[in-house]
Amino acid sequence: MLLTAVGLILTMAFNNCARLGGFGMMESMDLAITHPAEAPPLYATQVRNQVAEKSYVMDVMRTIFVGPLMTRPQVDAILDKWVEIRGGYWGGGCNVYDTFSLRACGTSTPFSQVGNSQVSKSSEQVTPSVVRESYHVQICENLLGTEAGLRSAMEKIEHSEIPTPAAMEQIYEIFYREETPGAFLSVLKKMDQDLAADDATPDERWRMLFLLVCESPGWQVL
Amino acid sequence: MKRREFLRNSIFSAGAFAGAGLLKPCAAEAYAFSIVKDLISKAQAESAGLMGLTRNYLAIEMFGAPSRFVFDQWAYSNPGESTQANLSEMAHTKLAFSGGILTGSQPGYFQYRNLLVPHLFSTSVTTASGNKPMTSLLDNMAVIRGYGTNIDGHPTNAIRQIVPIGGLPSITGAVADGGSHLFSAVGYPDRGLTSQFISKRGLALNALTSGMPLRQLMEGFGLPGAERALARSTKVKYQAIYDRAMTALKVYADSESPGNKIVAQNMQNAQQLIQRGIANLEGFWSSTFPKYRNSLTTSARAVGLNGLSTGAMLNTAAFDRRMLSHIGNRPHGLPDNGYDMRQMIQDANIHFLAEGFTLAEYLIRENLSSAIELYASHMLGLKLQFQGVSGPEDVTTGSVGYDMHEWGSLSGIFLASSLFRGVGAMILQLKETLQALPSQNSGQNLWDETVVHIFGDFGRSARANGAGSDHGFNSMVSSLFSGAIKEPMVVGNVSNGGYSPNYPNAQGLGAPISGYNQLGIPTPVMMASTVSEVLRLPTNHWRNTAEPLLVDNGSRIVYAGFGKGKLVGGGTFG
Repeated sequence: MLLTAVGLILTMAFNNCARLGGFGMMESMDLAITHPAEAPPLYATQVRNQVAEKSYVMDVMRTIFVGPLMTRPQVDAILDKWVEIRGGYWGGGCNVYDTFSLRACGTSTPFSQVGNSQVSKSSEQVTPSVVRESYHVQICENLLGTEAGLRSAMEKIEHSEIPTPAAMEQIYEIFYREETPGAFLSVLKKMDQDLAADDATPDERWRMLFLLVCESPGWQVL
Repeated sequence: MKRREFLRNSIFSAGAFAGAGLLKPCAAEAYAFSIVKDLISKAQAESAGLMGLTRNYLAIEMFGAPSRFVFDQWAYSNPGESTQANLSEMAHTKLAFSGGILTGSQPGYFQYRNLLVPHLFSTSVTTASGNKPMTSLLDNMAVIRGYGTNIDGHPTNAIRQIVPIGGLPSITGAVADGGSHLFSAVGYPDRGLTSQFISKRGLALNALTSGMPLRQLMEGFGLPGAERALARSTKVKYQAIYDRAMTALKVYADSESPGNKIVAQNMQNAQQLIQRGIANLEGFWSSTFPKYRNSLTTSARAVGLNGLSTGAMLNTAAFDRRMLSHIGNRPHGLPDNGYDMRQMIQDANIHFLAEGFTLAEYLIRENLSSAIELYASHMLGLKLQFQGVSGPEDVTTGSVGYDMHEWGSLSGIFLASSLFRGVGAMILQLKETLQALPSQNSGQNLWDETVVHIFGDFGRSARANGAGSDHGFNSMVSSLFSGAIKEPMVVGNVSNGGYSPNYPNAQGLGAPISGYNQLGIPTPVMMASTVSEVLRLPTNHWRNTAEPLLVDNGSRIVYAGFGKGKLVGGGTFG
């Protein structure tokens, strides 16, 4: 009986997406196939949990944090420590044009060159993991852990002394690359209200907003 | 470039993710996928009896291939075979003394339970709880011997044991693939050219290099440097507000896609671990590392042991076999005739292996990883007094410490016994600790759920003149230690002959197994297939190529259909 009920519910779930048309995520798709029913069947066990590989992650961070107040080498030093030498957790395989002497390709002593992780050379994909997310947190905390880091990120948006809804939307957009925040924005607004009520300084409010978006998992999920 | 465009260009265009590239599920479908995925994967695992069954794997590579006749390269093993064996003197395991002076060697095998074993196991070593008989190690020991590659070379033979078949995972990779731990695999220290971790799931090996590898491993859960502490301190100051916002985001993420849900959960777990911090690591390390270091050094440096160091070891002409050979243009001369070579181990250590055991204990007891690679190589700090030189010199490098071509049978018995007494003491220390801890998976203790695997590049072959050893790439050997092994065991046949006229007599040279699905001397695939069964891996990737010689019957490790390994009549020049 239970199995029948579960089967019925799941069948309905798989077949009723059309009624939910108009979701933001569907509208943003520009692929030829616009409905799952038109796609080749994908069994449940084939669903992969895909996260962006290291070049995308580093590109996002460089775009946001490199500027007059924080140089490319300063940002790269942090990315090198938490992404490059822990490449096994970030995916992306090896790039033979890497500036670090093919170290991700295992052509020299793997441990001393790659540092903290080793992964199959052919691996473009990577499995999401708690360890990767801990490195993700470290990147955000280290980049936003100085005045220069915060100011450098703030320069990428239109900002006033205290956060505004428009600024929050821009913070979202620089991490999520021009996607619209939707319900995310209400979370940011609520957090900022709570911070203001708790007498947080403007810098603390800015830093917490950047930190929350930076540490939110979604911008790296495919 | 827009986010989606960037991602499509970098991933989808490579064809690496064709299915999902075509399809992003809507919310309801995504939720359905996540339910079905969980149901199916759990059901598959349960139906196959695979839920959390893979044992912890601690793989210790002894690069340089130390001579191990005294430890696990058993040239014979069954009662009765000692009278059949035409044993090479180089394969002896016990020294003979007369009048307080070393005079020669003897086979040194004795019967323990159902097997003949080397003399080393009649000695005791030291752990934190006192003296322990080495027979306690035998009680949980299985020797896999008699396999080879027929090809020479240090790294190539090590790699052939680490990755026995190209295109399939490494053994450690297979363990990582079969588990779901915080750290998929951990390695310490650098394995250099033999570093080969291959996971079919694309999992990573955490490659640790520092003198405090545990801190390096857990660094992601630690504090940022003081100069970059503003973000962390602000977050901590407003932790409740931050947590409420993150919780709201998680609900939002859950509704978006299965991938988002899992990554969001990972992030939540990471945040919790970060908040818990890693402050306890220093305390654990400072209390545990000395336990292993002391077991190692006290046991390895012990002298006065019966049949190993009861008298002076002088380089005199009182016997016709060399204490330490002098070959060609090697940098050192002969040992000073008045120098007691027992002194050479007094500074010896392999401390990085003690660090490795400390790391392994933490990972296993905290259930942080089940796939652990350690690298041992040879003893450091060996010193010798040479003729015409004013004081003892370091002989760790060259063929005395590393790759023991120059270990003559007499000094080799002494030095290898010291090395493996140290290694054995640390395994017994680990056994003591893990036996007292329950396993989260099986209801057994953690020692029953852990397998220590010791392997080198190859075994050693034995020169007829006692002048040293060569590369035994057809006399490979591994040994396993686990609470699941309830008696001394040995698999794989060895020959009663040697390699050639210069390397005659029994010395552990591999021999065919009658009826086995590999003809001739089995390859390292036999070892991998056997280890896979002892580890209780969900998939034995090597079984079709080489049948396992040990299996788990549900309560203990038992012999497979081929039974115990045995000595078989005359090899090439036997």
